[in-house]
Amino acid sequence: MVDIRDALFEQLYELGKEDPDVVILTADADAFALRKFKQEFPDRFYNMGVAEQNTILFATGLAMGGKKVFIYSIIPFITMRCFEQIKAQICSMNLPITIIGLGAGLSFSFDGPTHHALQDIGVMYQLPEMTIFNPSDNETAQTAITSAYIAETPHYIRLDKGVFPDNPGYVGADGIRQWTEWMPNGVNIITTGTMLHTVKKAVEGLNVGIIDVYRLKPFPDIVSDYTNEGIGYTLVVEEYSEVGGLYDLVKRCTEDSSALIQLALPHKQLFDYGEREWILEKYGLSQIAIRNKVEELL
Amino acid sequence: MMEMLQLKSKALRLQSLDIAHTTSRGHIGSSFSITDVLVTMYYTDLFDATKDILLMGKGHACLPVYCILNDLGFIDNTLLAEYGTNGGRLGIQFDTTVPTIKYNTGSLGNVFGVGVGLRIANKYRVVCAIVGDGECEEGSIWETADFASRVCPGPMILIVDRNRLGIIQNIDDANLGKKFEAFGLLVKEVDGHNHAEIYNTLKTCFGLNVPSVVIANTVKGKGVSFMENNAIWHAGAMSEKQYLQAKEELQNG
Repeated sequence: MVDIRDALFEQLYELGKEDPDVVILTADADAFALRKFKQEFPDRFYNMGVAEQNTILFATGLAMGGKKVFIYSIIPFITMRCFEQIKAQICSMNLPITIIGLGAGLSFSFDGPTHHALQDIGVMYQLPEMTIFNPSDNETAQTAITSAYIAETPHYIRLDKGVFPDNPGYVGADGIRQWTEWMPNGVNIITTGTMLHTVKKAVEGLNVGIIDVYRLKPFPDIVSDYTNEGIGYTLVVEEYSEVGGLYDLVKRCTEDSSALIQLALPHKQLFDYGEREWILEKYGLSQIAIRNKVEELL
Repeated sequence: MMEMLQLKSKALRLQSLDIAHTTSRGHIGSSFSITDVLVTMYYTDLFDATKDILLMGKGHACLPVYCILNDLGFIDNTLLAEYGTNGGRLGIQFDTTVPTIKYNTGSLGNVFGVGVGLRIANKYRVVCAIVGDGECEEGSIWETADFASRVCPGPMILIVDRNRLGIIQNIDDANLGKKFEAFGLLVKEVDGHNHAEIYNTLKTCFGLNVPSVVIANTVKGKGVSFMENNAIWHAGAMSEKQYLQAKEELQNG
């Protein structure tokens, strides 16, 4: 069983092994699979320390000089502390730099709001040049890093912590995975990130369509094909603030948004400390709460 | 060579003055303080715009650079005339569509860190960044200072245009050099209007294998009596009378 971080960095290691232009910068964040890269290619690995602005600037210079740079750090700090530099240095020159942010949603559940990733999607979405991935498992994590490597444009990948179920044999399309058949006149769920696993368990045995949006930007056109079809309900479930996340993105491309129901965290900085599941339950995002909501709609 | 540089500096100030007056756009004070450094770089063996990279942190002083690039044949007269016009391709900040320019300017405090990355990537022969002293108030400069001294294999030069004025603030930091030294960087100071001193110091620093900081002591608005050391001329439009007086002083100076 492989931690999602290791799945991503294992893939990045493979890419970096073949390509000497791959450089990894970490703002003092660690991952088991990262150590292998550091050991074998020490001249292509930099621990930048607790200095986000300089990390972005150094990456910019390397990328302008022909390198493909991958930055790894904790989400709120590496996205927002140095956001203006991400915009004016990385994005305005469309450089091959990928920011891998650790701690999607409430991954750091005992650390309080400074460590929660509940504003980063909205913030990073403002950047016209930025592609955003929000993987839900090892497979989408590897898809994300490979896409970023091939595209050579600014990318942001939100990474969770831990081991999530492997998902062989799914049906994937550009930016989404469809897990179960869409019910145009029934109840469906659109979700993103590791919340997918809770959603799948929540609706076991029920006839509910599930779509996992693993690429948030550019937002997959195909989602609107689903949400504009039929007269059923679509529940949008995300471990993110009710402002600026998946719901807003789905709503934007849906003609009749009265059929959309939002299940998200409140638009607040959450001074809640506890296990992730405990906090999610408090805010109506537990497996049981989702099931109850679905049954209500059916 | 020094005589040639003097003549070039004079011509450059006059040309920048003309364009700034015609278009009412141009950070004349900021441009005149760095003119002599720019001339020393572009018109000697120190800097080759086809092989080297200059990161103008203080991008608002772009007018003299546009004029130099015009003089050297990289920007033709038609393009130069677009400065300050609607839809013109030369803005008050640089972007990568300008011939020989590889970096978008406008945000302060960044070129030092970018320069370190460029030095290590080793795509360009010479890597040089020019910042203002006000710009050195940005914390990002000091994040880089700490990193550069430990990691940069040099040579990479950070030139500080110390004209001691911001937009409304006086900046007189006698400790600026000591601050960079405290971070482990090699620091040199030069008279920013003495071409020989500038040339010799930059030549030495480009030959090192460590990064260095060259503090150029300058006068904002250098060359025009009513502009010198006057913060109003950070970016100001001249009256016809002021323009004529400035022009006369520069021609006779």
